[in-house]
Amino acid sequence: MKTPPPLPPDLEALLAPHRTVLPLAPSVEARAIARAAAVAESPQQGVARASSPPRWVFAAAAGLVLALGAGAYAARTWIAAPPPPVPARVAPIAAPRPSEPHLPIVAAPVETEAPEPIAPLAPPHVRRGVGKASAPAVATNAELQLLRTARQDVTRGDFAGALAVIAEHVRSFRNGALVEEREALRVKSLAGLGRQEEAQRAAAEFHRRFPHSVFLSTFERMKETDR
Amino acid sequence: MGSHLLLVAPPPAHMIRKDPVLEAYQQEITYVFHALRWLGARPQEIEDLAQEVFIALRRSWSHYDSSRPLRPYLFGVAFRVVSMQRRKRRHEVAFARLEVRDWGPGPDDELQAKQARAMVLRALEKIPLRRRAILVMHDLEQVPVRQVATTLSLPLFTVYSRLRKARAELQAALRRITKDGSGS
Repeated sequence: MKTPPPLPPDLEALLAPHRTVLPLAPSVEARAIARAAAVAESPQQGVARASSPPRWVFAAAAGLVLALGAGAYAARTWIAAPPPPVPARVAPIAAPRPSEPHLPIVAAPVETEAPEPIAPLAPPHVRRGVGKASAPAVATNAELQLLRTARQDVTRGDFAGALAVIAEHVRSFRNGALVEEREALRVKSLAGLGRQEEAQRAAAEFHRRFPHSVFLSTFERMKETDR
Repeated sequence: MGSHLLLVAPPPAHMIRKDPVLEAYQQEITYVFHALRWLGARPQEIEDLAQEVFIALRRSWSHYDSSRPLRPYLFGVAFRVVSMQRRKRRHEVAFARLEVRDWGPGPDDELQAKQARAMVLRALEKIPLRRRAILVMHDLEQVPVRQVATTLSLPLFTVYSRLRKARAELQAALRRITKDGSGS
């Protein structure tokens, strides 16, 4: 069989008009491209799988790390193990010299390991960035573009679209430079969609993370408008 | 502090055009949405799925033979993305009724065309995805059967038999829809 039989005329007539690719709404197209551009610039997702090493390399590396970790832990435990109980060193009893004052016989203090100082905890919004030393301090163009798209969506009233862009921002720039703006837009979008409970939860979380944010006054105004 | 950053001028267009995959995606973005819609993606999911297509395209870009047309390859990627999403969703909802939403500008005088498209989409919904993809690819996108087989990694004979069955299912579904429509 070289080619399949031709399409029956009734099906052909029905399908023919749908072969043209309809244009997208400009806002949808812009949003989709902005999301893709964000992924393209994101270091986490920008790497092609084909060029990445095979899985066994990762498995071997993970095994090595685990083995080294276990070894280090064992060594540390062995080093830090308390020495067998040694009777307190007692100063030898000697007859005091006449020139020296009479000193009481005391046990010499046993040296103990000083406790390690505990680093003070950073506030929650600072701690979230810990571990990502390379996190950008300045917004990249892609991040900026993405949030601008979300903001335009909110301004236009397309809150569902804004939430989709916000989700993309979370994926690509979890600890980006514009997290505060993103979370503010999330509150607005949820409120705009009428998802009041979620909006309130998001606002409370925002308040906790950014207690001095200028956006808080906006939320207050939103609340007053709702009343 | 960063809010004022959002007010500055947008980044120049060339900054988001450097990537060849992104460039290809930008050129074919309308086709990606088109393919996803005909593969039965729900309107509210299409944007997210298009993003998945882009991510998958980036990962598989090294396998793409640039001497061949991009669209069939994109269709294959879209098919795999939709299949994966269906598998994930299988336990969530049975099969939701298809909403027909037009992504294009759509003037009112195109109402009839929209209704026809809605009918075809409803009929296609009755065909399992693995057969629907072949029917859409060959009969709608007019991709040669051999290329369909290559793109979807299927034996040629399987493509023929699935296509034949899908056509019969489409005709039956259309008959049912027309009958229901005239009956009500």
